[in-house]
Amino acid sequence: MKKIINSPDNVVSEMMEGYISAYRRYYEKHPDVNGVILKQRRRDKVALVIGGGSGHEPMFSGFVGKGLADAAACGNIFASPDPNTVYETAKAVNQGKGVIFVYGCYAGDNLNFDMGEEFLNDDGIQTAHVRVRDDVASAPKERIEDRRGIAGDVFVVKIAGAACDAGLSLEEVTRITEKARDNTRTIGVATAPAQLPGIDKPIFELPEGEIEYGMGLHGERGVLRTTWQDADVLVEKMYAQIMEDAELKAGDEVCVLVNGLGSTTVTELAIAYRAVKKLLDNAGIKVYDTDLNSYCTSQEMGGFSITLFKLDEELKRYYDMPCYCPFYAKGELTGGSLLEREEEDLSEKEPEFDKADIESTEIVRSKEGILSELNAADARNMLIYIADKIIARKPYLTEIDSAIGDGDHGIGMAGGMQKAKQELLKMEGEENVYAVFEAAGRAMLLSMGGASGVIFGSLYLAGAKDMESKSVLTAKDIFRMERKSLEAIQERGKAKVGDKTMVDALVPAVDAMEKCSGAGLLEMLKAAETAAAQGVEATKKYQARFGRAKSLMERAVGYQDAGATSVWLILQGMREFVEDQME
Amino acid sequence: MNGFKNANGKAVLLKMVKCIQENKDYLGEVDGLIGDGDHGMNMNKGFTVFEKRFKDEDISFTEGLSELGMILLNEIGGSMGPIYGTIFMEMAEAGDGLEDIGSGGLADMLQAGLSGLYDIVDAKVGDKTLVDTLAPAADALRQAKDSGKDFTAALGEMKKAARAGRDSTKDMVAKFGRSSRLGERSRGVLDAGATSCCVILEALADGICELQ
Repeated sequence: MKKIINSPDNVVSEMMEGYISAYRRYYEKHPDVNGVILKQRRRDKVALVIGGGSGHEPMFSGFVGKGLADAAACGNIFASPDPNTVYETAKAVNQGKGVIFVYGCYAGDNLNFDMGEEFLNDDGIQTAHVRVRDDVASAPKERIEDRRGIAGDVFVVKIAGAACDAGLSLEEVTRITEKARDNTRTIGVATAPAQLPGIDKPIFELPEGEIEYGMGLHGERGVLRTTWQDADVLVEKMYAQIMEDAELKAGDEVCVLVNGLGSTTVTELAIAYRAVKKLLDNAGIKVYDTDLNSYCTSQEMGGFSITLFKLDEELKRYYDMPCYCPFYAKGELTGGSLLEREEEDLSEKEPEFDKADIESTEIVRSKEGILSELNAADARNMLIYIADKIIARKPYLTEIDSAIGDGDHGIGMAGGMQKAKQELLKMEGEENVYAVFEAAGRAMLLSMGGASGVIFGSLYLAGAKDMESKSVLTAKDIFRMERKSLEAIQERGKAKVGDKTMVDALVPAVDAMEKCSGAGLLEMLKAAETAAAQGVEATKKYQARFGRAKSLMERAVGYQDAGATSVWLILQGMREFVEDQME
Repeated sequence: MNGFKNANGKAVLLKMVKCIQENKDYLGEVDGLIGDGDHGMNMNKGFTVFEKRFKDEDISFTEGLSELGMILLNEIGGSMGPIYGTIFMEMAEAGDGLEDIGSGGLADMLQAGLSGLYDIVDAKVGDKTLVDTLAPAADALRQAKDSGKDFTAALGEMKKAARAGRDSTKDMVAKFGRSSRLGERSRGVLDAGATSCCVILEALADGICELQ
């Protein structure tokens, strides 16, 4: 696979040039060695220097920042930096309070950083180091110092950066960073190998249907090769392996990092996390914070790792401290201060809208027989009735939309109506009719997304918004409300009759309402329903001017529009409720 | 031949460079099997820098070794930078005053390189590292000298031992480096460091013989 490089020999130097130039607000390069240095460094603190191979971006140079590392010593793609780079980089950021090194435990890094430290010590500079060794697959517990450092780097660097920023002594920074290191456990799987720039083939071959378990961060093969499994199965295995090793029990609190190795999508990381979260919930372990991202990669390796970082009160304080670099940020601006809600609160969220157990509600009317006006209670029940009607018609709407759209109109409308219904159920006792329409419309608008959300939400919302409170609506009131909604929709969406949209049903319906508003509520709604039905039929003739069907051009002719169909169903529902002829 | 002149030894180093360059892809392949595949690239980079800087300079064998060692230490990083850097610099120091280098001198140098290495790593023979090539090679050279063989024959013994040492790594389980994570999976494949060390020692021997 070709890469976007020039000569393979210059990959690292050109990468550094481009990278530092891009982020010149924050970074500068050491004049003599491959060291990335933070420009605005806090004075009078222990200097934090991290480093390793350059092929793990954004780790390590991407974790130089405020509240993070002062500098990164960079080696070749998968090689540690040399002792001179370590020495010069550290010297450049030393403030006289000592230097702490955080890096992954690997033979090369250990050797080179040790040598670099010796040179610094010769110069009278005090140093310490904490080697990250979070990969549980790389060595058994008895040889924990042999384990390699992978994505757990993130947590250890975060804590070290915060401790340094807080002005602690080298001894204290080291103690806290070691604790963070000892509290971190990771395991990874690879689904596709990495490739070094300049070498035309990947580092190893991984046949289809196989995954590599417990591989490292350098594209090298792992400890075990096994067959592909569904995400939930894979995660369960990985989780079991971490839990065997970590000392976590119910009541503990962790941060979780699901880290992509380079070519794995956030979609996949999120699906993996979903499984992790369930397992943690079952174990009674609380999650304080999570990241789904590719922080510690291996070029374009496919796969991911799961890291669990156990918090205690002290570590939590340092975790919450603000930090910023172009690739990673924590603290007030990133929502840290918003986390006041208890976990219980979040778990009371409304159920997903396409669950099979949609409850049917008892629809209540203020009296038997035909209604001639709508009070708030009736409006509320009417809209609930309409919601149930649309939800029941989801398959029908899906079918219509599949012919010329992408088939999601049914799901979208059912979902929006479900949310509207949930809002309406809470509004027993509401006396303002407009408030009922507004709440339903808002619920649909906020939950549906896409163009449909705005448009169908507006169908209820736009006409009702900013109207003076009324406890009963007449036919004329309802017509005026629908006219206002239609105007808003046309203003928003710019569609006209003939464009094959919901407007093709709504315009004739509202025009009919105008004509018949004096004839009584039921007559008006009957006229509106009939006009809407005719509008739906008419859409069959048109080419679409909006939405997905637009690209079909003439091929859309002959099919009715799903949005127009929904409009007709809503008006039919209104008429059925008012007439006491509900399904 | 009893030895070669230290002052003329630059050509030997350049021979070592050429052999590393020629074996870049091979070393990368070997390293890719149980490592991360960059050994060929990294060694090539360091050795080529030495060639560029010193091919037209007037330097002796030991001076060149020292320069080569420093370049590897300072410029290639990874674990092989300090390892080869140390070996060559210790060799250079041990051979520093010599005008003529023969079996004894060279054996002393190799021994010094090995000792320097043992100061910074824990690897021993049998751990599947370059020690498995270097230690037997140094021993074989010493023994050949002690049993009265001439320099050319002794160098031949050294090469043979180097190759045997390298090949012996195939069936070992790795104890150090990236491949040590693989446990049993590291068996059946050569160690990259042992392989490059063999290339270097063979080039060293051949380079010396070509000086005659």
